[in-house]
Amino acid sequence: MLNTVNEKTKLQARELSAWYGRTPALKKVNVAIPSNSIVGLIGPSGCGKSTFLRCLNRMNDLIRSFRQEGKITLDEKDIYTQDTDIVLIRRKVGMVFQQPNPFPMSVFDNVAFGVREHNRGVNGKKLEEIVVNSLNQANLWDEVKDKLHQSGLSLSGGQQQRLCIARLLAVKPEVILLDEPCSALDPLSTGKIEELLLELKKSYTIVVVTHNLGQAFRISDYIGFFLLGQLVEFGPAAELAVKPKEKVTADYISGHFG
Amino acid sequence: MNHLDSVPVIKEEVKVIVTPKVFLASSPSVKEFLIEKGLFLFTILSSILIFFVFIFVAKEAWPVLRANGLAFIFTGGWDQDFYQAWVATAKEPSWHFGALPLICGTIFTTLGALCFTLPLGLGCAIFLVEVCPPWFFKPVESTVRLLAAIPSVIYGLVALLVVVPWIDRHLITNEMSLRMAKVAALDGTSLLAGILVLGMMIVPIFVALAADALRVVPKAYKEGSLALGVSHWRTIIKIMLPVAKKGIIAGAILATGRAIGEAIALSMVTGSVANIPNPSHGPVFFLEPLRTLASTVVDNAEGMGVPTCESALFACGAFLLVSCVILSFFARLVARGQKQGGGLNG
Repeated sequence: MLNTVNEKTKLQARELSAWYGRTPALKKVNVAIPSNSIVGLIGPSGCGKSTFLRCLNRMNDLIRSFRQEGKITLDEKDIYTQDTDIVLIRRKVGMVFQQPNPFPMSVFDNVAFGVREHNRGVNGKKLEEIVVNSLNQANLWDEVKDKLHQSGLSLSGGQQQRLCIARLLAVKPEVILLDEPCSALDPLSTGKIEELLLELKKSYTIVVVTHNLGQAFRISDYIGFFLLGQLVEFGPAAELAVKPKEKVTADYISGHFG
Repeated sequence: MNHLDSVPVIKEEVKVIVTPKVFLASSPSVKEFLIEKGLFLFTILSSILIFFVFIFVAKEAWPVLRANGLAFIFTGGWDQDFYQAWVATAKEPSWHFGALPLICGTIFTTLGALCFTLPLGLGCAIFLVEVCPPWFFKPVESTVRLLAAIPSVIYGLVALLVVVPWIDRHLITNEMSLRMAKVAALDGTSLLAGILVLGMMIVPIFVALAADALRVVPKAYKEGSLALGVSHWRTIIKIMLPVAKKGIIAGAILATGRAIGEAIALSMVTGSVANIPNPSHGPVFFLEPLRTLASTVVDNAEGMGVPTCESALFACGAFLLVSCVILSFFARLVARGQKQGGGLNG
């Protein structure tokens, strides 16, 4: 079944299956991710939601045993063809990881890194402007404006994660994928990231994998429930919260799972 | 299955061993005590041995170092000096030695070898860790390890039978030989042959250490960079190499130490003449014979019966020891910097 939504589709998966070696990780996933929305992916550990997320920017290419079938389109263009420019795809579809992973360089350089790499011509005032804007967008500016030249690793976990988001915003992606971005953070930092995501969806399409159901329902416009490699259910968060179509979804959401 | 989602929780069970007082003599704690002290004893013994090596070398080298002072480092003419000391009578020993050619020989061969080892080895390490398909990785890695284990005399032999004649036939012209006739005979045994054989010998060590340094760069850094749409190649240059920098430098330092100490292979292919290759001679510089400090200890070992010659050889040994100490000090400094400044674990 194809999930149809009324808004413009940014990313779409058709009959997407994936394997690590011989172990199936995804089974015929069909989903359309509307632009300028937050899509939350939920499900128990090992259900394939992170695999699905990493398919969207071809991060799984790094895993040698990984294999996939089916189609993923970004703005209606297949991203798994022979002549796909993977680097360009990752530029458009950026990713934030579970463990904050700022580079071992200064806060400024962390944000400037991608910009410098993509556009060697940008420097001086222009670069500074981009860095400040990105930090502002990530709600981090006030906290780090006095320590731009300290190591990114000296920040707190929550700040590090927002630094990672800022460094992504600096290269102006179209889609932001987040793989359990708050699982290593305390509730306060988590709250800040959630606020940030709600602001960011005005300009970006956001897909977030989370184990925190509360978080999923707080911030998502749409929710997808994965189980054993299958996308069991996908729909508007409000609908899923009140009356999910599938019984397993209801069980999972209400905590009666297994 | 998605391994990213599952974080295994390992609970360690602590077993409490209750030992009755009667069996205390054979209790694990007594055994551990004995093993601990035994190991400590071995450590102390080996440190003392090394300490005595230093004392011994210094004591033996002292007469020549005292007689020549800084002239030992800054004057040439080793071969003549050695001959003079060798033929001098016991009543009037000749204490004059100038080791400049040997020191230059060691520096030239080592620097030359590093010049081609470092880029080659770094390229090889990057290939192994980042590019190489898995089926190709094992054979290449085993080969590299095997290369590191080959005795240096084998390298010397191959170079003597293959590289030296090749240089003689293809690079040395009659015109060069005539021009250099007064300085040294050009027969293929040369700085170039030394650089090549030394380079081949230290590449495997450097590759192994540089590859290790690259392998331990946290995957998160690499993924973070790739997820920004930065290409693999730029990620290697801008993220992985800087993070692995200290390990790579430590590898280069260890390779340098090996190069400085190499005796046999260089003794075989560099001509064993205490000549200082002169850069002002142009490309012939690389074709001139020379001899390093370490090779000298081997080549002139027949002089050991003569006290002056013996002391002079120990003086060469003292220089090698000191340079190795300095290098290992630097290696340690770099390694410590990695622990303190790197903060790779956030």
